Amino acid sequence: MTQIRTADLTKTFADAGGGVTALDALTLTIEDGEFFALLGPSGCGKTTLLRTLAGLETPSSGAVYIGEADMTRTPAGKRGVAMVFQDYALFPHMTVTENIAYPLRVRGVPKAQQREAVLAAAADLGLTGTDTTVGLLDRRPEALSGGQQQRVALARATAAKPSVFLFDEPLSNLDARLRLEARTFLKRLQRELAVTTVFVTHDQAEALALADRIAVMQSGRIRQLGTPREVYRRPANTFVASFIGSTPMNLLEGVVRDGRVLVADSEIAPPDGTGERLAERAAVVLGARPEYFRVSPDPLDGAFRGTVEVAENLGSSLLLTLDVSGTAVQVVVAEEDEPEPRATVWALPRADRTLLYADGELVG
Amino acid sequence: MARTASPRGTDTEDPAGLGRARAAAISAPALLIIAAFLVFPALWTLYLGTTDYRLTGFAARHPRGVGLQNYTNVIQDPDFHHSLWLTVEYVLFSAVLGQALLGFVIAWMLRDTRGWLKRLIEALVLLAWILPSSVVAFLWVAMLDRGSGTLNALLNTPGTAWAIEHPMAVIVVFNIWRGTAFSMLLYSAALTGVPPSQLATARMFGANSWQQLRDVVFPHIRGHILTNLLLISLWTFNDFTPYQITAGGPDGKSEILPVYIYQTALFDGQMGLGAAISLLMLLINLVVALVYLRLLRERRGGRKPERVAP
Amino acid sequence: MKDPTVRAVLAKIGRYTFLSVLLGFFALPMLWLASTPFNAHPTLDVSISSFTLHNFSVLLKDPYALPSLWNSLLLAGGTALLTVGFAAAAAYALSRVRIPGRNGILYALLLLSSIVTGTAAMVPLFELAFKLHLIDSRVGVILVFTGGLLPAAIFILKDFTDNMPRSYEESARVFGASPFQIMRHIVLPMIRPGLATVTVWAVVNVWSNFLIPYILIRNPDKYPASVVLYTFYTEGGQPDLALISAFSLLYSIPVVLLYLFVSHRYGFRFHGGIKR
Repeated sequence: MTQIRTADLTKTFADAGGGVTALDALTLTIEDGEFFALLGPSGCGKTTLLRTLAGLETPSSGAVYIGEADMTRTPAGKRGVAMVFQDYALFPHMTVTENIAYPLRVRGVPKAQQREAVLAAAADLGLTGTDTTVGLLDRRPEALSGGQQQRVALARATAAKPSVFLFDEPLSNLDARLRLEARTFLKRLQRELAVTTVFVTHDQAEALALADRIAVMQSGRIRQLGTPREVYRRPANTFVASFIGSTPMNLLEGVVRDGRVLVADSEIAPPDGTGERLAERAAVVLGARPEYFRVSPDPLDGAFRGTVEVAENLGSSLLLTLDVSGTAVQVVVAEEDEPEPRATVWALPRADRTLLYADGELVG
Repeated sequence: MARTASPRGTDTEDPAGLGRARAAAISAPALLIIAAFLVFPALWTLYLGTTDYRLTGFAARHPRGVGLQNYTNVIQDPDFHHSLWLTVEYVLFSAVLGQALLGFVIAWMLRDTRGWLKRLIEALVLLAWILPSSVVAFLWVAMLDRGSGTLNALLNTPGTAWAIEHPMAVIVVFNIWRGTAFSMLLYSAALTGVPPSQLATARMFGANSWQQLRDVVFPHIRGHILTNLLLISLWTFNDFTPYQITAGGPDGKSEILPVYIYQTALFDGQMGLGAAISLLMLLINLVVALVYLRLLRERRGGRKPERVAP
Repeated sequence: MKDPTVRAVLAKIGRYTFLSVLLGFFALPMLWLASTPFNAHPTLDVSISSFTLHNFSVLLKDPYALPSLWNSLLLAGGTALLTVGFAAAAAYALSRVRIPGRNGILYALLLLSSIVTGTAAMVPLFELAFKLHLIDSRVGVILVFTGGLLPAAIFILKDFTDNMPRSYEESARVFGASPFQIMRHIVLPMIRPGLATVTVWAVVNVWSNFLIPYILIRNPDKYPASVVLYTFYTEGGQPDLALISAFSLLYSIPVVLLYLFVSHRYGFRFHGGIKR
């Protein structure tokens, strides 16, 4: 049972200008066995949070609990966590075997047992038993491919038999092709080991694909905490809305008039059941993902009317940028529905997927 | 992002969890030895510079404080001016122009070369650098000998006493021979850091060798050049080896400052005076170092020169 | 406009002419060292009128020649050991724990070290050794050398530790390694090229230094090779070229071998990161 809990965790770094708050009174619970993502842009505090869990940073105030115990002041090596660094931190002067055995060597485990554990961990990670892995255990890290290095780093972490895994940007050092493969592998590994795992990423697709739950962070705070589905479908604020999704969500400023939203000279129906709650002439932001539009060459009621400015091929679909009375609206259409350049089209947002924000927060 | 974006605080500074107490403990042996066998004698030297201490005689036992007398004497001494000027020439011609330039030319010419010629040249240049200085001095004395020296045989100039007729030229050439290796090593390493793509781009636009050097290579290795010049200037400034070839002579024509100090302090026995000259030399070293560090810092946009290694 | 092929040929001729002159310049002084030790009638010119190994057999009979090489080895080895060990520890500590003004202090020490190796500090050094009963003691000579070499050694090694990614140490730390385990398992092996460079540099310095052992050592049995080289005179008071040349060769071989070994094994580098 390894739950991770932080209570009012705050970390400020001394700086010339007084101090930078990397973590701002952060309270968070990560459940046993969960695959948990810390997602956010550079400098949002996600790496600091991970390093604080590892014991590499000492919080300015607040507490960290791992399992039942208060680990706030426990030194890094005594927390039962294993961390995989972004650059893997494989010791260049040691062979793969020596690298994987290192956590055991530090604990004074006898050599024979070390050897056994290394073989087991290497087998788990697919580092033995295939043509490409012959002699791999006796090589130095520099002689390995990027993917193999990552697996060795993971093997070393599993050999430590930790109760928590911490991954810092686990996939960022791999090239695009390998990354997808490694992502699947990582998810399967986490499921098999069922060890509580926290990872940091700046890539929303990675977080959506891997995590059971995601904490989206900004300026040392959690802006939304939820499952990938919740975070994708109903971003709690415009920050999360703009951060999540491989094509960014349309966030269109408008005003409320007669229970409808006036955006870019178009009258759009608000999300179901919000019409009567909205104050007349209130300033709102309409959120609609490009994927959730119905696009037609013929007029549609309650739709944006625009001309096709740019068409980007995404493979099975196209991303169109429409000019709607001077406002850019992006929509995705199927590959067979590609309109002519400069054609006039009507784009109708799906009512059950349309979101409304007031003062940056989700209201419907 | 991880490392670059994470704010640099106290914890990331100390990744091994060393802590101040342990850090102090493990640096203590080095610092103690430095304090006892470096700082203490150096300070003592500075103190001696304000006395009339002599190697022998009454003043050896009971040195008197003479205040700044030694310094005013030195500064007014034409021999000192002469010696200082010779030292400046020595540093300028043998280190800044000689070693640095030759070291760069060798590194540049051999940068794409492989094979025995490169290895042979590098081995000889390095050999000149690592042989013991007394051996090297003997080799040069033998080569320059008036009667049977190799140089006279080679140039067909029998009876020319090079060390007497051209003492400064001899020690300048000697120091180039002796010390080029360091610059060569440093520039070879530096040149591997120049992106080939940038050189290729310059070539594509029709830049000739000189333009490639000026526009691509020099901007890249400017830090190396400054570091190199700083170190070889300081080393050459304090170099005593020429004494073993010309003994400062004839008539002080090659009496650079380290030799001048030796003559004053150990030969004439005027330790106090010698110590005072040492301090002046130290101050000159300091000025030279500050000028180079200043130039280095400018290039880094005001950041501290954290990474300069000898 | 010249014909491009003519230009290319001229450039090639120029290049090889320059390289030949360069080879000659660096090789010329060494010819004497390569020939004279084997010359039955050694002179200052470069020739082997009659090949002999007689000079070496004379040298073997000299009571001070071979022991002096042993003495040099003790001094150089001891100094290198102390310098590398203490400098590595200090460089690592200075690199990882923030001490205000650490760079300024290092620069100041570097400058001071130029005084102590100079001639003017000889008397204070002598008096210091005298008071500490370190006259005629190898330990005394080693300590004086170590004091002079440490600042630059720390400087060189700090460059290596500064450029070591911190994630290695952090990774080991999360696995439970203590700071000393981290130093032993991770830091020292990773800065090995730096340690090798400093070792060579310290050995070469001590090996060729004449002044410090000359002043601090009284007993001729303890003279290192650099001092003994100046004691080879014939009965007529002339330099004994047979002994000097043969001894010079023997005296030079160890540093050359050490250099070759280290440069082959680790690559001789004066930079972990002068690269910016």
